[in-house]
Amino acid sequence: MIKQPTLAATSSSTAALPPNPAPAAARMKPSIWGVRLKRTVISILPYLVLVALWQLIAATQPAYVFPPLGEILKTIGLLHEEGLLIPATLATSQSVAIGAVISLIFGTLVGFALARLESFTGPILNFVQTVPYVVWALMALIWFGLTPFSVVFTIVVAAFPIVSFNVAAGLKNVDNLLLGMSQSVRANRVMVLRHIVFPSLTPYLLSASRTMLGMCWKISVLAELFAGGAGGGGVGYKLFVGWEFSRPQEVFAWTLWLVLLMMLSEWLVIKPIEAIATRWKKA
Amino acid sequence: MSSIEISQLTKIFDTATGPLMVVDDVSFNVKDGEFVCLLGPSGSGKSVTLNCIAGLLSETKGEVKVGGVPVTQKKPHYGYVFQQPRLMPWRTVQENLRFALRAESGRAVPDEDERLRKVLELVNLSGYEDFYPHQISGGMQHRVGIARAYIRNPDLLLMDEPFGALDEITARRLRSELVAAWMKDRRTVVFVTHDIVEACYLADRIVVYTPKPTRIAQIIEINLPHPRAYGSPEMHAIETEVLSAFERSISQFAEAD
Repeated sequence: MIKQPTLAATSSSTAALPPNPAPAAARMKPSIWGVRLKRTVISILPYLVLVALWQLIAATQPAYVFPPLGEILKTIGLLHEEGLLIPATLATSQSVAIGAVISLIFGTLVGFALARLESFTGPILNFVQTVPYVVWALMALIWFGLTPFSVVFTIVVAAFPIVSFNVAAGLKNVDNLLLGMSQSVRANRVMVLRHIVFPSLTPYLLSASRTMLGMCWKISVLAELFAGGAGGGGVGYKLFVGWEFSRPQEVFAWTLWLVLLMMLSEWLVIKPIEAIATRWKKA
Repeated sequence: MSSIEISQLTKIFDTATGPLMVVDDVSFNVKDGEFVCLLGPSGSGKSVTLNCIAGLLSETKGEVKVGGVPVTQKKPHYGYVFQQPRLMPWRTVQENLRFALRAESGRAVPDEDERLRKVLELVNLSGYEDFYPHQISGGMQHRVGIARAYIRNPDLLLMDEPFGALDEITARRLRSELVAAWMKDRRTVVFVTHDIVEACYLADRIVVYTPKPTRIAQIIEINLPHPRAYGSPEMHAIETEVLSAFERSISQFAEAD
């Protein structure tokens, strides 16, 4: 708890770094700012390369085939001015948030079942995973109609097995020595779950959540595309409309926007949870 | 009351290669408040005997009674100290100890803070309440493990080579602390070890085990007052006696082979 300010400082330093560290201090010794600057450069490097590559290809292609980033950002701005951006974002975010929470809870429960009764749960889970996501999206429409619920259903079906497999793997790695200790103090099941099993699962749940959240965003687009305007009019639907009316710049704009949303959800949701859950390691 | 009566204890494990007898017809008693060491080579069934006393394993034949009641009927109220401290790395010292207190009911115990303070004082860890296990030394982690056994206020302490993985200097310090803590209220202790010097330093009585399958080679009484001094002539005499009992059992074992 004492360390929290330092933690916050480390994570924010990547965003707000002075471009010129005090030169005198820098010359004296490799200062903390020097180290942080190096780390920041390394962390933005892949994005710089991506942007450079994109612009390079865009320069050799007509804008309707491969628009430059400036054009795409301008289109995003236009979509916002038309009042389309925010409602679509909210609709998709809502589906993703509901889908992710259900996937996490349901996936964890199935993960426990998988660890306990692998011969029963394993084949069912494999079946769910083998059916292509597109088919699930279509099935959802047949079963639940053109509703936002169809979108959430498709997201959950695609995302929860990721959590289940990770939880099952985590349960196999719970420290037997700690379980023996809990037996020696006659711990009841709830105490063992709360103080030994769930803390052991934390790294598995975190890595699963990261992959699972990305999956939720991707599948939401697919599901919304099929569900049409009735599916809540999210980003996926708008993307489809852009495609239907031959407006490639809109397709690119919605895609880039979606990628930004995915990254944002990682920074705003997963990273803070991770920082809280692994606080004890840095104490 | 936590006297222990072990009569004709036999334990056979079913393994892939057939039944394996680890304890063969072992009988001995431990008086209330007595410090008894089970001494024997690795794999001689000392820990199995301990786990039978705890009721964590059930005997194949024979009977174990604690306070006159068979452990199969009612599990004894014991504190267990393992070879590794077995602390939850994501919980602080005090949270680890509270876990032991609340383990059975899941609720806070009324005099929890007072018990926590006393037990930390007993193992010389006052002031380390809010440290995580990775922030304290290995010896201190072992002290927390011992505190965890004490905090539930058991009549019976079962210790399975608790200092086996420590360096000798740290182990000696912890042993003398253990003796000091034990002398305050004389709980019954059954202490498993393969270290002759350790057994002679600690025990009122040493039960010497033979190699597999385990029988009792000899039971040796030590009538020296606590705390004892390493290397004193009296200790040396006892150590020699224990060692010769050990040697005899091993040579008999070799002949029987």
